[in-house]
Amino acid sequence: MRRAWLVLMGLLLFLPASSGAGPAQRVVVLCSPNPAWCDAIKEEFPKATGIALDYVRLSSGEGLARLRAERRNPSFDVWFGGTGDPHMVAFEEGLTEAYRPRSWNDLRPELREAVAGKYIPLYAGILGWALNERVLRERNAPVPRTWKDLADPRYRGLVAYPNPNTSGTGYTMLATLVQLYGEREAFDLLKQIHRNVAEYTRSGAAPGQLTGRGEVAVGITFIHDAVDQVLKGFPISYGAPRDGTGYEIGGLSLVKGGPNRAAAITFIEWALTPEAQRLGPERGQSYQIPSNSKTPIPPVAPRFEAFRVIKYDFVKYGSAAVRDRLVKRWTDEVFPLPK
Amino acid sequence: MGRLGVVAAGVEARRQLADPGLALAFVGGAAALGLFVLYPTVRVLLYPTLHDYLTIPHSVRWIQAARNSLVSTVLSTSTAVLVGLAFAFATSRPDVPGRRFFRTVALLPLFAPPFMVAFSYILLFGRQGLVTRHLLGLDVNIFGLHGLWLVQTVAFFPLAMLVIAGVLESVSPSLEHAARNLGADEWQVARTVTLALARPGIAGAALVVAISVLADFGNAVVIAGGWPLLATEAWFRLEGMADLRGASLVVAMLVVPTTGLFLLERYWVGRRRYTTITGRGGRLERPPTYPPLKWAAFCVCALTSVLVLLVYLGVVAGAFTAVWGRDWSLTLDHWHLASDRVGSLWASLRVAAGAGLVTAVAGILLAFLTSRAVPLRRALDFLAVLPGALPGVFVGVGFVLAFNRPPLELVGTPWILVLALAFWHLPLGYQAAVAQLQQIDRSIEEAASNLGARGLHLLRDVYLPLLTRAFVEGFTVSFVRAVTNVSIAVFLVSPGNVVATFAILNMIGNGIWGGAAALTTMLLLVTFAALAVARLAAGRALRPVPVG
Repeated sequence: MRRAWLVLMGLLLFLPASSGAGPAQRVVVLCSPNPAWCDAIKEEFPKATGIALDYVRLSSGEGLARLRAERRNPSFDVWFGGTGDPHMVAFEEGLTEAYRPRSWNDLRPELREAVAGKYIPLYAGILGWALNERVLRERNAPVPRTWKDLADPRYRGLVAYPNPNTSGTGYTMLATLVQLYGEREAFDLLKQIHRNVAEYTRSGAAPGQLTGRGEVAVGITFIHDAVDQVLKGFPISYGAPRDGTGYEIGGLSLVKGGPNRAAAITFIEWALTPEAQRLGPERGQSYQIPSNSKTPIPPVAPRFEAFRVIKYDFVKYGSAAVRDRLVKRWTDEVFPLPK
Repeated sequence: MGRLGVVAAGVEARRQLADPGLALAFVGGAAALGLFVLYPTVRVLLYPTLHDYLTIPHSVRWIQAARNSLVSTVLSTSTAVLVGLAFAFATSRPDVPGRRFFRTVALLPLFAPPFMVAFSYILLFGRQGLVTRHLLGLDVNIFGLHGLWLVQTVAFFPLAMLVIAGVLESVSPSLEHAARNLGADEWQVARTVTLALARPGIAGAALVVAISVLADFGNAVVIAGGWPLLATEAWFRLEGMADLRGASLVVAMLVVPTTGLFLLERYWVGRRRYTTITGRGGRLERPPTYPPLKWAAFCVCALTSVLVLLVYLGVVAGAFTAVWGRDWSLTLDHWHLASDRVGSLWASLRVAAGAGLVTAVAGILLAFLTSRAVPLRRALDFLAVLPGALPGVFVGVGFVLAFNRPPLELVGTPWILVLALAFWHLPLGYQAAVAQLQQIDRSIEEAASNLGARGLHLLRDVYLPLLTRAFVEGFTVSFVRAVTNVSIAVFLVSPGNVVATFAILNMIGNGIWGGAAALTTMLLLVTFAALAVARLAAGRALRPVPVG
């Protein structure tokens, strides 16, 4: 009995030690890209500026939910990475504020024009798919060429697609189809593809992984995530539909009312430098096109010239009203359909 | 109850509170429940408008999700409770071969996040599974509700076992002897004595498992992502759309069946008395187990143990395999990666130890309070069990909404996570304590009372020694569930307090499987070490308490 109480007391003493945050200057980052990239900035930012960095890794949908929930009392200073639409929604809702970095004019003009100053572009990535050709051969299914090919019953149970509710990738595909074919035709096509979907994944990178392991043959994902899988040794190839594909402009946003505003601005300026942006491909397993035109593009990064990329309307499809309506329609009309 | 009875009860309640210690405990218990259970719940439930609630019956999607959830809950709960009962039975019998081994194996699934079971089964039993494809040459699609059934059974039967075992083990062998002496055959003994006494355990187990299954999204998201379920719908609403209203709607739909389960459990267990510690007579040797029962339990346990061990072998193997499914060479690279996140292990341990403590202490205190005629007894009892009816995401968002502003600004501190987990798991600690209290004969208390013990003295001198077991159980279950929790952590994790499960989930989601497997293995090792210490500390108290 006495021993049990001693342990109890010990535990009580052990607990309060948990809240110890140092007095030194720090910045708190909501980090949405590959965790390896988050680890790299956590290590390198203090070396460059002397400011400590803490991060929580949340995918972009989760990040937006967290910022909304913490509206009255944000615990984050900066939102680093993740697809652009949630950044845009956050700005519209007053969760983030417009900040014009000193390096604004160095950023690729096509990116900074597309986001209309609602957030800072951090990178660009092209939507496409990962293909497992061995599984396709075993199933006697041809290599798909267009989005419409995916409606073919030969792909039944062979397609993985990120759920647009959680994944920016999933939403980018949804919005791409709507821009390509108009809303009605796009939803008819999504209903046909639905019958072939083995799994709607939570994250946008997961379909590439399922493809790599041969659980599915076609994984809809950002091409740079497929490149990461290839570099890790998985037997897949990648491409994009020839009828046209969309892309993302990853975001960087200053959280409104965050606890360390000055440090947040220092971080934003640093994150846009070529030295910081190189960390993505070099240590972060992330092979997007960096937003700063002075940052060298990684040799393996998928380039716009190689694919038929549509003129994606970020302002329209990043607005809360349009995004919420399309995702809701998909969730109501496509997701519950029997297979 | 007549008018006189009501008056008498009121007098009794006031008499109880005349004891200052008891009055203090009452105020503390009621305040804690009001603040950390009722308030967040009300915050979330009042978030959607009435109009939002009225749209529910018109949505095909909600109906479909509800149907799928119902099916998976019925299937998974039935199998998990059956398997849990077999394990509890086998481990309470000294003559079942391998009982210690079974008990250890049965605890294993509690030490890894549930989504890890789904993840590992895809690796082992999927279309490219190590077992299904490479060893057996089969083409199996594990994605779907059938895969979820298997995974949830394996993930949740340990909860059933823990609840049932706590009751089965305290069944005095003398009752079985007595039944035999009165001419009952083995089946009758098993049915009318052992099982009948285990009923509160089985009912409690079904309740706990069913609610865990309903609220489980970790496994569902990994293995049944193509099928709408209530828990994942709530998750998608919150995580994807930041649609708190939609999420609280789905969660409200989840609360209906879980409340139903709760009422069913209360009704079934009813007001029967399950007194087996009588304060008279010692403990006898357990009689030999009826062979058909013994071997049936043995077979169920053996088969399930293989399934459990395979999951863990898969995870450990994954931690040392260069690229699973592609390059089978051994490597230590994943361990370097995982060791970068060692801080998250410490965060997990701190948070879980805090949650375990709060759950166990609050559970015992409340069980004691509700066993007396204090005012609001039924309300306290309801609030103490209510969190079990709430999905983790609900609790997480409730705490964010409730404690994000003064005077109780807890967001961003580790305390919010500790309190959310502690009060979410409160029913486990509370029910363990209640089940133990039901085993204690009132005559012991009356004896102490006649000798002058009052209020809190009763709790300390009579109940506490008997409740140490409930404390250890409540602490252990809450601790391991907190260590493996991710549904609440996702919302309450703050910078500097990133717990290991959260880090692992992100690694899985981003294809860092080797690192995820290595970090999970580390989490397993550290958790086991911590539990070994706890067991050692409580070792003396775990022995049967001599009475009388």
